[in-house]
Amino acid sequence: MSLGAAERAELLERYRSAPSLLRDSVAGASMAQLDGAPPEPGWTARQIVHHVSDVAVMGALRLRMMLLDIEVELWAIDGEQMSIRLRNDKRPITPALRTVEALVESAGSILDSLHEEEWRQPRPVPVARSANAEDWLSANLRHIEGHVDQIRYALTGTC
Amino acid sequence: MHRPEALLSEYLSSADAVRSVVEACADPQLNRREASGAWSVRQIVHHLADVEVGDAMRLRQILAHDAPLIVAYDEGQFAARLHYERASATSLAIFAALRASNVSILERISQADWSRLGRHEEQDRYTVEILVRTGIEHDRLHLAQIQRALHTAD
Repeated sequence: MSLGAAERAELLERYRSAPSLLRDSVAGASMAQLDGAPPEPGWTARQIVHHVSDVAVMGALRLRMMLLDIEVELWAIDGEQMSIRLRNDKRPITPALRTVEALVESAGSILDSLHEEEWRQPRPVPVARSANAEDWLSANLRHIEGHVDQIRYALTGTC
Repeated sequence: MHRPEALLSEYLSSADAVRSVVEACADPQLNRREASGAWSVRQIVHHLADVEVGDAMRLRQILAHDAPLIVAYDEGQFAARLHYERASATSLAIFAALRASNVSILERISQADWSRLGRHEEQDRYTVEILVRTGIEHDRLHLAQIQRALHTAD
């Protein structure tokens, strides 16, 4: 994928707005709603927030390693296993929401500082499937937005 | 080991100490360094944030997987390639947010989980407890470096 400057700027703006969508998606939800069984089998809203946060941590490290041209074959994670072992059904969501906000803002700051050639430079990141910084941005934006829809569905039964 | 509560309290307070000192700095102070060629306060903040990102991932890996490979990294490369001249406020924010997030995980793990192992590329033994103790020492080391830099005459 290769983006024009305007398209990339729009993507970055959407990426920077994504944590607000996440926060808004759970705003006002009661404990019972956060932990309520979703309409179809799957994670609760609380577990989804933590999953987004955990993946944002992984994405932050991948971005850094990618820009250093370090191959990161080891960071495929088992989301289900991670959710269980990290007690994602029990932990409060506020630290997770703050983590996503801070990591996205930080990644935005790093991406802002890239020179044009750094954006498109092919990178050796097989598992992350991000061939370059533009791919990383698209994939990480999609991940948050996708799970925001899932949270809305979990809380209300509609997207 | 100490009671986990005491260790977690140190883990939080060492990060808070760094945050408090850096938040009190005016922007020009962030460019101070203890000696020519040493990192500036700004660069140290970025370094602390990048290490915290790495530690947050390591913690999650060790708890979620059995004996995962823990990759070592070259901090000099991070500084050289990740534009450490950029504003440091976002890095200070991720340092604080990730520490709080890590603590929210550590508060809920079992005693046995503190001894879970990762296969570190450069260390014989690497457990959750060692990760936390190393994090505290790392904070203190760089807090002292920041304080020396801030006391260096212009």
